[in-house]
Amino acid sequence: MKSLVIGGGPAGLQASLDLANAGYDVYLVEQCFSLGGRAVQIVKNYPSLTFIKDFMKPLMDDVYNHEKITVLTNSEVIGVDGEAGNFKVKVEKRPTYVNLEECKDESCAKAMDVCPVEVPNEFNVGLDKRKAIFAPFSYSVPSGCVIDEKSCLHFKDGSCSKCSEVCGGINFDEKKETVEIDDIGSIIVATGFDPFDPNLRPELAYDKYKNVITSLEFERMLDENGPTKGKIIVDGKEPKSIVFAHCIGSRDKKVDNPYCSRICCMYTAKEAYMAKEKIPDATIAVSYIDMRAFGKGYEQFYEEVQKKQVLYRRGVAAEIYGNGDKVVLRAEDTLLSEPYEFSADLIVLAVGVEPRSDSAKLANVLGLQLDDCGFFVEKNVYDTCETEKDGVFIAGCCQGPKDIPDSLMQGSAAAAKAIGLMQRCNT
Amino acid sequence: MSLKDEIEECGEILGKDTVDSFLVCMQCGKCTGSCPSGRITSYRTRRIINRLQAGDRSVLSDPDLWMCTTCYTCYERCPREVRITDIIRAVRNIAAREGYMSEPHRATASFVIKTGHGVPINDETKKLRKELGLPEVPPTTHKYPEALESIRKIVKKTNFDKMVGFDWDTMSLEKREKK
Repeated sequence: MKSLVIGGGPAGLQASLDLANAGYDVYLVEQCFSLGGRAVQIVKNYPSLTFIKDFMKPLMDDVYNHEKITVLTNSEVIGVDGEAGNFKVKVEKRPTYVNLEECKDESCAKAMDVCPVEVPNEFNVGLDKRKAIFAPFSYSVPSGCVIDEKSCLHFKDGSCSKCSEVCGGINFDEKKETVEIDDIGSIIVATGFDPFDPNLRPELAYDKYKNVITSLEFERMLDENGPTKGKIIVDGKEPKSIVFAHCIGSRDKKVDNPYCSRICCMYTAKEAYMAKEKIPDATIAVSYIDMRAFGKGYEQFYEEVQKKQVLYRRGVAAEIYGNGDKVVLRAEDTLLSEPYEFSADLIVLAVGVEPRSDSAKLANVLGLQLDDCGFFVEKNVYDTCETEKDGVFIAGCCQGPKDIPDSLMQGSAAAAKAIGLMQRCNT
Repeated sequence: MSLKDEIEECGEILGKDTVDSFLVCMQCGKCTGSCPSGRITSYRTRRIINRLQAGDRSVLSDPDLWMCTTCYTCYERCPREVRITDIIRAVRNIAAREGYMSEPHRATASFVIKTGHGVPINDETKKLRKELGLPEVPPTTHKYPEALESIRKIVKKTNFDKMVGFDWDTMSLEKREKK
């Protein structure tokens, strides 16, 4: 009996590994070109301040190289039939037009060099450009290049095939295929989340000023391998004053997100800490509603951040406007009952976690329910892995916002549930 | 009657869900931070809601209650969808009933009784209307003075005149001691 895992982020990777180590054959289906999910866009974890790469890369490799795991990247589940213990699954595997086995050393770099197309790089949230043939990120798994047919000129009008002249692995004739897998005992859904689009709060002027950015953009600047080589640079300058604004798209019924995103308080604390490390003389403030440092070691980390002279002022960001080179955050300090303005070189919006925009489509394929917010519905409050649909389990942010350790834990829990179910089916 | 019940009663026309929404305020300060009045006055929107939650009746006699310009910015932005401006209006009704209406609001009320307009027309507006090709006088009580009688009937019937302290003999406001 085999098992299907949908989504190759922390929860899906951990679930796959646990299932495989228990002796089950696993099919891991990932929509993107690489494993890793959104966690790989993050540089350091909190509260340990350890590099996420040091954890994620081995996990991705272990999964990818596991003899019991078949990884299908750039793929999507398009059909599910049957029932617990015996699902039949259809997966659409899209072509990458690059046969990695035929790739010679450095031919990837040459191919990227000659490609004339430049489009915004999704991995770096548009902070730099990538080519139409590109490596998703520095430690993507599988490694090597892929061709994005949406931006490649060969697929637009046939006018270019330069990469194929320098790399023997290119095959423009690759076609998408449908993989059918039967004897699937259990399915684990771990499809993750989307970050909130701050343009839905126009008073924060996100699309108006270059120095109002999202936390994800800021995170990419912290990466030594990122678009700024680890330097915090806005409009060519290093900011000397930074304000972080909590709860952007969280705890906000106006944008249909009435829930707390759970991760923003702590990732902001970490980003503020790292900002202070990189720019020690910077003035850094955080505007917050309530500080939620609920995890093990989190409250202590919050204290460490305060010791770095990061100023926490209670009160959500009310509005943002530009003043010369500066951007001004206006808010009420709710403890002093005084409105105040903070004029800064950079404002970082701590955007919240949203259900994936395509989760309704997948819910339909799987026969799962979505809650009012759009997350997958768990069986009940005491069992957050099982669903109303027997044999289908959920883990990670697709069930509700959570951080990486919690996602890993729920991935393991879902795997244990799936193993239990498949054991019962076998006897 | 508790303050909450009074607010509900006074805001009856707006609906219970609207006036009750102050109960779910999470004190984030979006309202105060967004408030154009609070920038130049002592008005703190969140504090008003906070005091209502606490059942603090002193809010009724607080002049700050009348500093809201009813621009609805806080109402539009509130992440908990507290119907702030509507609630302020409901609470002002209670305050007015208890004799705490602000002097500028009383003055506006007296204009309504005297002319049918909170802001009666003046020569400047008349000139502007003429320039725009509009009739000098708009089709309101200014053009139909007989309609003013209907307004005054309503004012008397609802005791609005007594609430604002309007003296029909002198056609002006009674002097009120500051409470």
